[in-house]
Amino acid sequence: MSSAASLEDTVSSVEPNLFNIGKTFALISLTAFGGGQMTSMRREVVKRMGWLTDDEFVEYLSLLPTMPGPLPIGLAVLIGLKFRGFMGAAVALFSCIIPAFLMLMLFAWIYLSQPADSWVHALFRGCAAAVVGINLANAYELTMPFIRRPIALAVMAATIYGVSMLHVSLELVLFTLAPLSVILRWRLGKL
Amino acid sequence: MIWGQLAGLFVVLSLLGFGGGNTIIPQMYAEAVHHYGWLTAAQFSQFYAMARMAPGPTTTISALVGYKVGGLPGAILAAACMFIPAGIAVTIGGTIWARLGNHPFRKIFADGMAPAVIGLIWSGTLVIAQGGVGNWQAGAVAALALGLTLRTKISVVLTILGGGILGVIFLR
Repeated sequence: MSSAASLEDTVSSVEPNLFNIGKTFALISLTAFGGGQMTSMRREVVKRMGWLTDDEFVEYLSLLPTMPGPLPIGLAVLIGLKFRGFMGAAVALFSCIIPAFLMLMLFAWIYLSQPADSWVHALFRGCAAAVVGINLANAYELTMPFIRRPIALAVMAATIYGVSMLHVSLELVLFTLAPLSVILRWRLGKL
Repeated sequence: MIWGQLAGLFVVLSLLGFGGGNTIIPQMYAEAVHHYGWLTAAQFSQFYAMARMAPGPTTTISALVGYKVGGLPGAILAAACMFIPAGIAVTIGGTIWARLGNHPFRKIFADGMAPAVIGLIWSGTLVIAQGGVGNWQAGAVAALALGLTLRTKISVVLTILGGGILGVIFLR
């Protein structure tokens, strides 16, 4: 273990072992507060460690929409898989989740041990209200590039109406609207 | 019984989590809050905010829902069911893609999925708003965060913590 740690700065020419993989992704996960994990991932994995070239990084990113799960975790799993097979994928997955998990357990324990009229609950009520604003801003910014593309907007509107008003299930969206949208994109060449 | 429900819900959500993870929030809310009644809408929104603030993906909210249902064992079960099936799917998918090489279907799939994914993100936002904005004071905090996020480069964590401080003052 200690020899692996001392290789830290010269590791770029060496294929990572399980310890390198676990340490790198755990550190990224520990420091990526509030998202922004992809940026620190590229910095570590491409720039500092040299595990992937920029082209490979983009290539891996382009694979991920065809698979379920959060992007940074999918990316870590693919990198672990590339260098250390199934064990590498497993180590990458767990090192991405465990730091966040421990922190959230602390939050949950504090939150649930306090009464609803405590300042702790008021704090989290404020946090939740702020997150509503942040998510509205994100949804708005994601939508703007599509604003002059009626087909894409129609799919978006149908999804929102179906899920929020008619309460259709995620399965129904993924097995009807999403394939329809993919077929339209395929036949029309754009949306 | 409840352990089976918890595990079943998160395994299904794990495998349906196309488009990043935020896409499953409306379904998680519908099941955990309305169908099973494990937590209130307000608690769901606050758990979501905690997951958003902590490092890692927002789908770690699964651990918080699990903790509410069954303490630490519930949290471990929920998180394992949330992340391991998708992890296995990515392992299998990565192996298949390594054989197929650079197929144009990849880009078509990603482009085609985008509008549905954005629609689900809007629906997720509406869900969080239901439990997160219960009075005009909370609405004002949300509006402030909306403006800051659109107009400045302020970090998400600072915005959420700022909202928390306003919460302690105005949302007691």
